[in-house]
Amino acid sequence: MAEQRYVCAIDTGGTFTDCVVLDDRGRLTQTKSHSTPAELSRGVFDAMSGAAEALGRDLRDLLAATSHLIVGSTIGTNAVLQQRGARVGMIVTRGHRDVVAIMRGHGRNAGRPVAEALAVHLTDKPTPIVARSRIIEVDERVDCFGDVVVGLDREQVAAAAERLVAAGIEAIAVCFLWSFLNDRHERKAKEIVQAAAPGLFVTTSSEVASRWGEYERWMAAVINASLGGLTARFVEGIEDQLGDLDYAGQFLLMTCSGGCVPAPEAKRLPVLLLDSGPVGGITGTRHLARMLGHPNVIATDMGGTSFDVGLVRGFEPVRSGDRTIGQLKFYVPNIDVRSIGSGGGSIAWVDENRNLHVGPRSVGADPGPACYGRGGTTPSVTDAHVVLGGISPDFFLGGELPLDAAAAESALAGIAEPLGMDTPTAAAGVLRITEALMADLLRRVTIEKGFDPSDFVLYSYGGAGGLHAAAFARELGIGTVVVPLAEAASVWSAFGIAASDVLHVYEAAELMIAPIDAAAVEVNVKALEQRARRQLEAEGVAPADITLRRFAAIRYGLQVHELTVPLADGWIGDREIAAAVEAFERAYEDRYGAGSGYSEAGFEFVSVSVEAVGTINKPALASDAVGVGEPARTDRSRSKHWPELDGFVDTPVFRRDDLGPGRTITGPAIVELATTTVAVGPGDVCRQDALGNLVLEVARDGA
Amino acid sequence: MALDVGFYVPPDEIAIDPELRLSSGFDEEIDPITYEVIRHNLWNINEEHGLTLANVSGSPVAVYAHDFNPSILTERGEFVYFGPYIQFFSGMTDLVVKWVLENRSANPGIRHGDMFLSNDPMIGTHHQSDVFVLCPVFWEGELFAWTANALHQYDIGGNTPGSFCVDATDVFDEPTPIPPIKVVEGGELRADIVDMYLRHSRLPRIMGLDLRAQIAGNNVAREGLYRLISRYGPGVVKGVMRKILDDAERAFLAKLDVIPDGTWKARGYLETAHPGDRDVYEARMRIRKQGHVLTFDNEGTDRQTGSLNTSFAGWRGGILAVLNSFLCFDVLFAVGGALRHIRFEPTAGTILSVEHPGATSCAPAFGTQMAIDLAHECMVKMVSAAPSLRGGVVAPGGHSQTALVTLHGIDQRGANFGTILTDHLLGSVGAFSTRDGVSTGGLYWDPFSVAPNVEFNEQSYPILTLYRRETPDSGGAGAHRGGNAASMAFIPHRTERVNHVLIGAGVAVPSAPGLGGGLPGATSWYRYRDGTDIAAMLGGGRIPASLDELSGGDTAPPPKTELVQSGVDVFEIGFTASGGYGDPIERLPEDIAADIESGAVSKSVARTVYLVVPGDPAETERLRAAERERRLALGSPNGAAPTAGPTVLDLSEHLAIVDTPDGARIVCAGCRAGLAPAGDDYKSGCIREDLPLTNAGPRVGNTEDFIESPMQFRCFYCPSCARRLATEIARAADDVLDDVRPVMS
Repeated sequence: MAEQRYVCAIDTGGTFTDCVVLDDRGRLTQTKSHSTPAELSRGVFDAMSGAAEALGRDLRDLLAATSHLIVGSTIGTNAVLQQRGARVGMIVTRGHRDVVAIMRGHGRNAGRPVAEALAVHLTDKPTPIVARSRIIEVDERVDCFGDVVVGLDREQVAAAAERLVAAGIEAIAVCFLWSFLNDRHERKAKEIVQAAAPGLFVTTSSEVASRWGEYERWMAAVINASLGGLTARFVEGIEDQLGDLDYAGQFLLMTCSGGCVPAPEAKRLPVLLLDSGPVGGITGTRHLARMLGHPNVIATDMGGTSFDVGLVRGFEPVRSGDRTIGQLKFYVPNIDVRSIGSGGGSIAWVDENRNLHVGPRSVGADPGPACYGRGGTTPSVTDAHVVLGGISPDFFLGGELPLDAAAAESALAGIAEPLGMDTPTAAAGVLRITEALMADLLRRVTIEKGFDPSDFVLYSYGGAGGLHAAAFARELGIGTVVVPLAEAASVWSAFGIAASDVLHVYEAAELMIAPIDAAAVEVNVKALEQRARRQLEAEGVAPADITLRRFAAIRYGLQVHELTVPLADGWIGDREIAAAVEAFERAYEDRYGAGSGYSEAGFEFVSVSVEAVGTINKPALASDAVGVGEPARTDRSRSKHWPELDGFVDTPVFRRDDLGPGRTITGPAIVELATTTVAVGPGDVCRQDALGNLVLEVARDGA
Repeated sequence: MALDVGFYVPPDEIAIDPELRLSSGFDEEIDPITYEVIRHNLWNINEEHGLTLANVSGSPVAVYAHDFNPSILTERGEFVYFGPYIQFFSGMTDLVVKWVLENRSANPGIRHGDMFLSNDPMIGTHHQSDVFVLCPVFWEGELFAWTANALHQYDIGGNTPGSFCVDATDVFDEPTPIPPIKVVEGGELRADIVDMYLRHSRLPRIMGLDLRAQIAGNNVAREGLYRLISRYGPGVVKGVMRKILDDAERAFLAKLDVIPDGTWKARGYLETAHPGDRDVYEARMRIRKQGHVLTFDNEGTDRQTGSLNTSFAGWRGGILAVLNSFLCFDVLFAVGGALRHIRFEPTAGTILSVEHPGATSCAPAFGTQMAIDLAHECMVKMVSAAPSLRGGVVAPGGHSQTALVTLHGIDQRGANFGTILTDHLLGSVGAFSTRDGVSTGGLYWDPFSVAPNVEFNEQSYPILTLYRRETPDSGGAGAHRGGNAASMAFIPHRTERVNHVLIGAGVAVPSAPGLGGGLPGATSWYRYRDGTDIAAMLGGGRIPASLDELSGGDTAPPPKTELVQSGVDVFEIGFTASGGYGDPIERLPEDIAADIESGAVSKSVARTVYLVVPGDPAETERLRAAERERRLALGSPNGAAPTAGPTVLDLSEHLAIVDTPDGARIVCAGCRAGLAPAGDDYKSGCIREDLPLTNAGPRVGNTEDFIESPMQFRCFYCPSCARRLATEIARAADDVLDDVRPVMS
């Protein structure tokens, strides 16, 4: 075989570790293996070994031919939730020790669902992530212009470091007010701490998040410090084994900002790695959306225990500057992936007024739905599918997990009885409610950003999504649903990781009020770009593969919505500033409605940022010749319930071998793949495209 | 006549002009699946309404402080859903809808495509800044439902920028109220009406934007309802609305069923009616619970005066804000069901139900907040009598009467500025019956509100914050501790001076009492140190941790004051904290040790209030025993025999009613010592101790600095076990409050 070059991507999830290998002709190889929570790095190599085997190679061989290995993970998320990270100490501006305890007064409810917020006795702040006794104040002060009001007392910093070390802390976050405008005090303090405690993980708030707002910036620094050791162990565990296997390619880690970074950067800024796995799904979506010409996509990932959603708008993922985990809010540039439900495991239940509800509680991974036969008796959405013929008990996960249909039936009977219904009717009700609820939530996620859901195409990946996607779409007025790459849908996040590039985001808070000083913007942008180039080149990215994109975050004087718009390349003068303001006004009107901006209050530049992309050259996905829309054929069928047809109907079942590029299926039909099942409703048409995607044209409601 | 000096109280049956046809038909039988789908969709429509309003407005008032709320109501103005933002609007919105039905259905008529605007405190708001926009939703020519929202305006006129007119003597010093006017007619915005409205404001363009936001929110909600009705039919949608109300009503009644009948009372004191005033004013609330009816009244509340008042709508809103949190938390803000069983009996012309032309522009700071404070105290006492609900009991606070600051002047860039700081959102949540309160836990009746970062304040206004922190010892002491609140100090920065208008409350008199013998939370305070050496200190590389480290003269400005702060003056403000639960000397010594470790409680307060000497259990026990001895030595009014007999009623964790051969008696639930016959005030059987107000807590301010009336902190001890069963704050001349009166059947 000629010299192959592979990009190898891993998505380390809670249950499974997925691996996708993309070869230089754009062909995919995928495997799934169990995660190894005790020692996550082992799961990474198990997954790669599986892929190597599928390619008929051994692992060393595969790695020898791999140019880039990119790993995504959820490492850190649970550590933050359970506060299992390092013991962190803080050195802060005198007078402001309580910033992370005060939590801006919304610590009881930040990130919590509305339904749980009103019962005050059921709310509490999380346990302080840093106890007050481990936070030491030092004299220093910078003001809102970045000017020093009180110089840094170096002796106090050194004494504080000693005290913290003596108290047994494992990492230190240096957090000063206004450090994003002037980071000299933070940098100096970091040097002093490093000198006093060599080898200790030290981080500053401005290096983690150079943004306005001390609570969220300091919290980012604290979380970063708490994850330093954990992340280093994970990354070094992989590095060591790669060394043993003589790997010579690039080893990168996926970040929640939608790109990847080399290992040293990941170790310096571990906060970037939080929730990076799900973000892969969105980068994959963007990649595919560009190929398919879908500018606006609602990307949904419905799995057994979660339902995540992200948006792509104008071919770019919708981003956010902050996240909230375990009620802790912190700055981190991220692709906004929201968990809005509990997927196939959502519990169906009947309240004392004989109302049927679905969720928000979930049966979880253990014991799982009743049909898993692991002792669960609580009816879930998955059980309803089994009762109604949507999921075949013999072909779940390609037949790997035989399901107990009788257990599903009896679980559902438990809610049918108090409702005075037969079991199928109750099961159909569970599904209808699920779909309506999820559609409501999807609608809210889009409306919240100022978008209209009917302007979007819906992408559905994750094992539990295919049976619902057309129904969500119909509720939202969406005409097209894509199940990406069909068979690869279940390792879609890993695919997205393979499709990502190196990405660093640099930000400089500006806080300028119009008239904007173009020269100052120019200086800031140039400085960021210089840093960006230096870093990418140091990381071995060839100059030709570097792309820099500039942005400005702007808002109106008396209004809080800030929007990020592109800033012109080249020299920045008054004309370029005016163009950015104009772009902001257009974007504002697009989002919030004509005339909703109050330009008389003037404009404020909140920040400028530079996104530095180091392109990882990848081939286009392999595509097959497309036939001319000939219908797919099958002999298989089973009885499935269709509410539109008022009951069970013998429904054709298509499998992988029945499909092919250009083949079409007209509903009612079931497409049953190893990792997901897709329902093609009456009147809907499903076609497999040249890349292998299933594309559903959804009939309008009531049609 | 529509406009009267009196305020609007809707009759049970509202009178609607027959020309207005109502769509009242509904399906009785709705399958549970359709019900759940539509129910969730209605909730979501209301959420979209709120999101749209916040998006279009973009004002920090809406987006951060959440000073708004959207709702959906039936054709007759019963709430179906109310949003998760500031809860007191739930007592106001339905009033405006009902008033419009009664007074606008004939002239100018209520028709498809109309919207009405109102901010009249005599009808359905508490102060003029909170403007309501209501939208009737018609289906096939019949009025099917209403959508409505309230939104706080930056400035709607009056003698003070920002429209909190603290020196107003009546409404004519304030923004002119606008009774409901048709601002949108047949889908068209009425230019004449809009111009009239915007002319009220110093910031007409901003108010215009907010008006558009309020209209856009209603449009989205109306469209959402049309989508639902056209898909399912009006009968089904209305049937779901009714069932939401019926279910919420049932959930509410199930709670009433476990609460014994009785009467619960609370009393509070509002201070200084206007700048220069040195008096306090009494405010009272009583809840009577009889079967399935809760009746609220404010009898005994002082006459309306100065800027302290709130309207009937504000009083009702304050009550419902609390009721939603304690008795409707499980029905997703569907307060309409509960309202079917609530009666309001306002005494007109009082601080808590002002008559025209009383001033109300400061209502949310004073009168409405007092309604919240009193309703909270009454309601948790009532809920304490239901053992199955007692886990939800939390001591008063979480932002009671507190210290607000408005600033104006020239900012650090040379432009005019004016603002109200929102750091007061850093109040605390009171002690729970099961655990400690939450320090800087925010407002429970505005569950998602967010306080500003220090960097936000310093970017926006010319100030430098020397410190902002949780105040140790500020939460009321108790077996469970109230949460600590924040305090902060700042100096003018890069400006000559900053002008203050202090809108203070809860400075002279504690406003977050303890429960079951717990102590009240700290009073709020202003502290002003003028002519200091702060510049030299900062220049020398030191930041003070307290005003005491600075030179200069110390003053404590009274609650309602104007003052000018120059660059050498340091201003400190502390926010009211919340109450404790249970007798502090019953707090576990190991909990106190943890409090000292975390900095929540100082060592001195551990010793003087909790009577704990850390690490010395023997000394702790000796101190506590001595205190019990001291209390008992004060003398019991009528002896203290333990009472034999079965418990027939739990009144709280601390009081019970026991059946004895001599009839039912109230006893100390701890030691079962008899206190009084069940029909009498239990306090009459307690040992009473009257103390100066400063004994109410380590951070309770010096009342005499601000008011003339002598005040007392009264403690009531069990005559047998010496447990402190209750505390009260009162003018020396005022009666003991018989706050818990069960009705024995």
